[in-house]
Amino acid sequence: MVRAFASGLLLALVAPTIGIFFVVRRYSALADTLAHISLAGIAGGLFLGVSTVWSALVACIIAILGIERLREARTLSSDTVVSLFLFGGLALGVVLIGLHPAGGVNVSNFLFGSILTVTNASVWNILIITLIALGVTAALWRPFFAVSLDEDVAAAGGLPVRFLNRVLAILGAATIAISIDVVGVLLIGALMVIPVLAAMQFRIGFKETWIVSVMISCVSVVGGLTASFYLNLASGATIVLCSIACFTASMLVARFSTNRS
Amino acid sequence: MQVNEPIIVADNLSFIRNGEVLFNDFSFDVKPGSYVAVIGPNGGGKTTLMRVLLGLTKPTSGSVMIFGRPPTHPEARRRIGYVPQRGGLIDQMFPATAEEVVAAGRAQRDGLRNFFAKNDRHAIDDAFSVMRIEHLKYRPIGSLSGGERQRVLLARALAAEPDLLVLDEPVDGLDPASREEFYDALRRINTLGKTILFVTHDVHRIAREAVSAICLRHELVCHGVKACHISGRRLRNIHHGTRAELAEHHGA
Repeated sequence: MVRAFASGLLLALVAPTIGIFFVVRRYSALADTLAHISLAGIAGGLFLGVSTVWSALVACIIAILGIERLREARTLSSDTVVSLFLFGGLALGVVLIGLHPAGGVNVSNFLFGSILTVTNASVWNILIITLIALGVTAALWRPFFAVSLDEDVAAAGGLPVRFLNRVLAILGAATIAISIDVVGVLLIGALMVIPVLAAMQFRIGFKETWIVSVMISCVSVVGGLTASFYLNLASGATIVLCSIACFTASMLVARFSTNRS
Repeated sequence: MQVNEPIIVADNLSFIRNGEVLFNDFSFDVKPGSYVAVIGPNGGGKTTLMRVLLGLTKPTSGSVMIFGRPPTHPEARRRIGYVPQRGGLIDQMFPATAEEVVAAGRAQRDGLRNFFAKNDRHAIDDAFSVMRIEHLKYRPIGSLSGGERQRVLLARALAAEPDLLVLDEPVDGLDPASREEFYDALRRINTLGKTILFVTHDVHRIAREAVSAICLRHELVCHGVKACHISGRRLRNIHHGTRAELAEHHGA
């Protein structure tokens, strides 16, 4: 359980930190797309006998660079590009896992998470990637905010918008990669998005929204893991249900505060 | 650059998109401290012209120099403040205070630097002061009225301490009182020495505010202080009139 809480809390820190930029830029579908592509990366890692966290990260980075190139070329609409990668990534992953020589790979662990079986090596991988992601985000917080607010104004002002978009997308890929063990491929988008949406109900500043979303994310992870342990529930899904409960509570509190004032 | 050299020099600009000519063979210049309006009917190429000047879009042919440099040059971009139409791409639900939005305008001065220096804080406070919106500092951007929002966005542009302000239909959708407040602010900014270039449909106001106008209807119709010192009714006619009417007006 200690390893489960450690990896869960690291994810609780980094998911909303990257997620807030994804949400305000309406990139939620992109988060899901990267999650599905990570399955293909996991399959590649299984074949090569390397850590699935790093192979998923590499697959996501390759995919995100491809998505950005296609978007910039504007030959296909943004939705089309994202859909192609989303369904293609999931399909490729499932097929490759099925072809694995050892056979009998438990796909559901990757799809829904298996936080209770996280190893020490996985925790170290998650810690390293978390520290890098948080460090880069902290270093580029102001430019990320300016580009997220208005890309055209940021570009007109000389900010390297394309570079910043790519870095943010890679950080999203890193978040996806470390979340596979915790909540699984199908639910990671929820942990990046729902705590942020919950915090946005309070209509506060950007920094305050980030702080509140991290708190909600931590509460969801701790509450979800505890509930799943005592009630024998799927841990990843329980964490996400906790975050949805937090969202509902935030919405009600915010509405009550507005009505009172 | 010398003091009175034009800060914008456009030479033979043309823009063609999907076979449609938006503007053709266009040359003009803008001197420092000018207050220039860009007017014309919908689809005349005004916003596209602004995007070309800002380096956001490349012209089909021709060239633009801003402060003696191409518009994509960092030194040129650092000196331009931009207010897009209707608050640009900012979502109503975007979780940010007015202060955070204005502070984002400093990013073009600071590049990828992540911390605020003392002069950043001064510039942000000055921007609020010039726009007279100190009372909005800690309000969420989504809770502001249209007029308040546009003034915050103008403050964002000012926070970068630009020499040139480019505004695309800044009063579009605002009520009359908000428009007056916005024009008051622009007048104050122009007296501080900033050059203003703005796209507008508010033809009636141009004669009282802008010193000169660029009238655009797929081609440059008129430009410059002497050629375009046009007041209300006549300007309205040019906005909607024909080339022949303009030629007659200028005595060509």
